[in-house]
Amino acid sequence: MANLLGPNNKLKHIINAQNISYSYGNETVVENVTFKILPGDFVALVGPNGSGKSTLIKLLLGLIRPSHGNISLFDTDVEKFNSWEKIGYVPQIASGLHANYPMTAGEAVSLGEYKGFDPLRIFKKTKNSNVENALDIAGIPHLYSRRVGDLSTGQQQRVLFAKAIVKKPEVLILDEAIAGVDLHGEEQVYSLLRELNEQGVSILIVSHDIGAVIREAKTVACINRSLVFHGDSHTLTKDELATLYGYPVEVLLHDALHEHR
Amino acid sequence: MRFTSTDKDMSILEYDFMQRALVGGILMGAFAPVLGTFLVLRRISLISDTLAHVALLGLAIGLVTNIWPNIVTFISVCAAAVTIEFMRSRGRMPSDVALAIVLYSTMAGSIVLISSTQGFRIDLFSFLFGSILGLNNSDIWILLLLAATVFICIFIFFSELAQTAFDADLAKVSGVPVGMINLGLAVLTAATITFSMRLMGVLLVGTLIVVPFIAGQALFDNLKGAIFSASIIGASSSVLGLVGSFYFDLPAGGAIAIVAVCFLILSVVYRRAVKLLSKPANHY
Repeated sequence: MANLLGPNNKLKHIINAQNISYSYGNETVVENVTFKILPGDFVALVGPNGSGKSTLIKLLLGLIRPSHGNISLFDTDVEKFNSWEKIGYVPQIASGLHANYPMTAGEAVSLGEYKGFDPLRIFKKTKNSNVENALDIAGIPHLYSRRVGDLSTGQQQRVLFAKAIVKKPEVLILDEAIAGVDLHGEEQVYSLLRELNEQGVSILIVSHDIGAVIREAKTVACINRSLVFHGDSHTLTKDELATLYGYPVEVLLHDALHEHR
Repeated sequence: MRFTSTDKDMSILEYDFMQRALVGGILMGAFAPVLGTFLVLRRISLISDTLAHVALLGLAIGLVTNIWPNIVTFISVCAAAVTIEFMRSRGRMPSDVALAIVLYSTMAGSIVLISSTQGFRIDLFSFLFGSILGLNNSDIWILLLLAATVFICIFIFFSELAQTAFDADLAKVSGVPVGMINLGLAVLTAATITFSMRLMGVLLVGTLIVVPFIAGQALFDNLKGAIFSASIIGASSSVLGLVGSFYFDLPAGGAIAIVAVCFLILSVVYRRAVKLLSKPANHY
């Protein structure tokens, strides 16, 4: 795969959240979280259901406003941030993936190439090498002309993944984005994430697969409303995981497919 | 509005009112489904029905107060469209609930206003059921302007509209000004409802906005193909509906709507047949 980008040496933080809190009505779901992602980081965000992981991701992306605290993206306040081509976001599901939506995988991925208002975009050819390359990297080049709504959940998630990487982002944020992908596909995605990270792309991944993310990520952030651990993935102990989930957690790191650790 | 037997002694195109009806019908049939695409994809198809009922209230207010009914109607529909969009996008309530609240409250207001005021029931009747055969030259010019505005806006903002319809959060993270796009779509929908009501009436105006695209999305797997086919289906429905109403003595608006629904049924049957005849999908 071609080198996507080089690290930006002048950049201090990809994401910098300081003391952020967020409440749904009277219920506080994210409380006083300070969270940073530096250039080249590979961070896994883990925690039980309802712990505030997805809310934290939405806060970091400026999709919702924190009730307290400050967030900056690429050293710019999130409210003023406009270099969205630097960010690739892969949600677990998109509302446009229902069966009736008339959009091919190629069209969906080409949406990811959006770089601002262009009045003549509709007349431009949508099939291009970037889209084909992204689908190829995601392992689904044969699905270019297939309707996204007709694809399986795992295939749809790969389409969203291809949509996120087609614009060659500097940070890739995956919110439980490979939950529906099969074992072979999961290995492909992690392999790609490692490769992207080695090329300088920062990664933030939310997952319930503790073993996989601890194995793959450089650092782990554990959240249960507030941040209970943030450090090197290998220093995370069983006791800290038990505290996080409320019951003993046994993590199996052995995987015959992996030779890098 | 129906034809008389004397009308049918002449060729359909020999009548001025028929020529205007065909031009108006083709225009609306072509542009309304293009706009309707982004209402269907965002799962707010019934907004056209709701706004048509708001238009009825606006029209009643305009006629009672004797202040430019079309302008009052447009302002009322715009305000309702923006309010619905605000409630929907802020997650204050589900889309269907927001639409139902606006529909029933404005319908109630219309009934009270119409019942307590004398003198304009005939006008309201024609707006309820449409009067495509009564279009005048001004109506055609307004429709032409509206069609041009809708086509230009959809072409220019196609990518932004497609992104927003695909997923609002993903669109925001791509840098699309989702709020502005939604607001623009709401105003465009309001204008379409207000100035197209004359053709299809309050009760059927949504048919040409929504049904042709639902048929189009069954025919094509890609968005542009679905929109293009919806436009063709909409215009064809208008022509066939008007011709049918001329020769079979049917209400024009109802005939157009029935033809559009027939296209929808044929499209769905075609898609099912193609799926049955093609090989099973190769999932892995």
